[in-house]
Amino acid sequence: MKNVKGILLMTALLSSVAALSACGSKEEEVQEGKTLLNFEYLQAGFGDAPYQALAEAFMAEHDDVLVKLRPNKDINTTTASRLETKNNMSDIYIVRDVLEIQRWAAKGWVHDLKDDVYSAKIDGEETLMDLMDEDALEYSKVNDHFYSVPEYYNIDGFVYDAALWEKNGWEVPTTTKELEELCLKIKSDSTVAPIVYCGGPNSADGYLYFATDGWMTAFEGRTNLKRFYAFESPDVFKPENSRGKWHGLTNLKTFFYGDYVMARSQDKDFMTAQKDIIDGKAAMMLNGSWFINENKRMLDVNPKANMKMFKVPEVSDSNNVKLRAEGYATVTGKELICADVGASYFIPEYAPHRDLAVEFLKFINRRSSSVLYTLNSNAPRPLDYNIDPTSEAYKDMTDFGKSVLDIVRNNELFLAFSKSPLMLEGHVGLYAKGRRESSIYQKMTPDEVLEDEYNYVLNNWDSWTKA
Amino acid sequence: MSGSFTPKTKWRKKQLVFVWLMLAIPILQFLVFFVYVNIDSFIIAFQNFDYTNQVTEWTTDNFRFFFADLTQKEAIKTAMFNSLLVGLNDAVLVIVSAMLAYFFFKKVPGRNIFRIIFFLPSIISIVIYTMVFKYMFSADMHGLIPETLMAFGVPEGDLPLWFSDPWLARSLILIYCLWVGTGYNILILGGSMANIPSDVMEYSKLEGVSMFRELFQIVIPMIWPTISVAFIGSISVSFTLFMQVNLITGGLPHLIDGSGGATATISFLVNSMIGSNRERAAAYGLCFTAISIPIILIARKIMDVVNKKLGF
Repeated sequence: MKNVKGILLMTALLSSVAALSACGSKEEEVQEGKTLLNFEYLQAGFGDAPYQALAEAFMAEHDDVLVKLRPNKDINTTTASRLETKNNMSDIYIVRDVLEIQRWAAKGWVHDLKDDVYSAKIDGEETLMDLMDEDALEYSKVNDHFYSVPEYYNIDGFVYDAALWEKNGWEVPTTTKELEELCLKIKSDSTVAPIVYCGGPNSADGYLYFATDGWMTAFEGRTNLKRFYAFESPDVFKPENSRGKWHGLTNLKTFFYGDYVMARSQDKDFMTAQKDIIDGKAAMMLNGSWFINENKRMLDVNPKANMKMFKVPEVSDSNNVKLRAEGYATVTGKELICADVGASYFIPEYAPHRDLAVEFLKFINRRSSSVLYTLNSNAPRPLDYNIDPTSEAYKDMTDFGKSVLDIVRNNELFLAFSKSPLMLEGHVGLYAKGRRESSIYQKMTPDEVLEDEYNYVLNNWDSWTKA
Repeated sequence: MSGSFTPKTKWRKKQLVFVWLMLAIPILQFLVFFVYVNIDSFIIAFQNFDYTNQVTEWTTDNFRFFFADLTQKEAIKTAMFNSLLVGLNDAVLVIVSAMLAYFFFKKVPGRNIFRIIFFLPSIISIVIYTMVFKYMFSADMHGLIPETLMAFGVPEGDLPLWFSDPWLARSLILIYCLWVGTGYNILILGGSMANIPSDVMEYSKLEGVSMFRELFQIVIPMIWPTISVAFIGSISVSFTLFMQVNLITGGLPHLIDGSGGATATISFLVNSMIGSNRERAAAYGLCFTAISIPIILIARKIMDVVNKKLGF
């Protein structure tokens, strides 16, 4: 009898293990008498603030709904299995990799938003297609489908403490010539290092590509960049067609691998480098619009720091004349800066509350919601909404947020993406072998880098295009 | 006497049920996380996702790209070189562990302190331990190593760049693997030493055999099968080492051609490719597996030959 009990106990134990392994498969549908809508996003720089604000605003309009935030730092690795098994699945997600969403969509795991969201009236009579800017619309379109909605445009530049700069009489540079003069002035005026970056492990390569991409974009102009990203022939990698990259890499050497950079920057992790900026040990650092959200705690203990951001200065010659590539063109006549879609929303095909998730996504894309999002994230959405200095929203923003929006308003954004199979399948990118900022650090000249890239592309082009 | 059960056969039946229930979970785990995953990876290696038409197609191109990358990009050669370094490092680790296990076995003074030092990494989470190890070398975190160097007069600006110099970054990973792997190997080899018949050791003592001779001519030959297993295990580790690289250097610094990281191992390289092209990553994984199998088999053969020569 004792043995039978033992076996039963063991069986029960095993069953409970099996049951536990499936725990979460039946997500609670109702909580506090309200329908539960799970909203999952990458736990990263912005923190929870923008998502909390959107959730609260939605719940204020839908008192029978409880939006549960599910920040997940492993979202890129956990989502696929949840979609496949339909276990522990959220109703709406934000992930960074839009190509991954396309792969999931091909498996039937992602809901097509074309009719429900893109063609639906979002704000008055306007649909999302009316509100969204052309590049972002093209970015999200897959043949005749839309499986995702861009969350925000990533805006980057040099982050600095305006209070420190004002005290020292340092002015925001608009060209590389002025940037160099400023670096010299900072060095002579103070013990503050002009520039710090985070070149250490797991620190986004010091965000150095913000500068090199920025310089390339500013130099090349929209038409040339569009031609490059079409990848129609290996000629787009020819050194003579890559002068924007050349300027980017040359300026990188001057500003980041020379005398203007804080000692040991190449070994720093991102939090330490950010602390150096907030503590006033360095004057500027490449970073993004998430800076003050990510560093809220450090800024709270340094209330005197007044963080702002300025765009990567324009490429100029020694006479301070801005340099432009042959065929340089923009649409608005404003200077061009690069932007990318930071992350995208999507709704699983088998989301427990798919219709409610669609409603939430429509709500998120209203003008008022976009304002709310920007107020809490400092990041612009690729939609038509008013964040001009005349708007109420602008007045409520931090100085940092205002400086980010000023960059957006005063420049033309170029969304760097390609629909070429060569790029989508990982054969080429802005660089073919991989990011080349480190090549310059390791003493390769920009000319050698461009030559190496072109030869590599030329050797493999036929093989890639045949595949 | 079919149909009738004696208490003994009943008991055997219950025992069988119990045994199978206990085996069910590991077997299931093996089937799902080894058999299924490997078959799936094999299939994926022959596929490519066509983003334009949103379909998955069959192809052998991923293998073609492996061989093209092998000759044109630094990343694969560097990853293979780093994995080889890890394998050699682990071979040294087995030797060092055998010596330390012997000192513990001989109950040398101070062994308990060393036991704590070497066993600590085996009982603390790898993530925590790696972070502690990493910060030991970080000047920004006022780590022990830079602070000690500065106490000896090295200016802050001249401190070694542990994470951005390729050889220093590699050495960090190797030192970490030595430190963390020692405890586990001491446990295994020490257990094996404990099984050496006590009369053999007594005889050696009566004969006045030195510790050095006892270790190399008696103890090591007698525990050779265990050393052999540890050694073969260490070779396979060189193909699978990922977490330590990811946590300590993140594969950095970058190679001069930008194609990968100077501290990336084979496993790290394959893992880092998954984000950009998982089909190609699977093909790379298969190619590396094809390379690793004969290496492991040759190593095993060598260990067997040595074992036979030792004659125990």
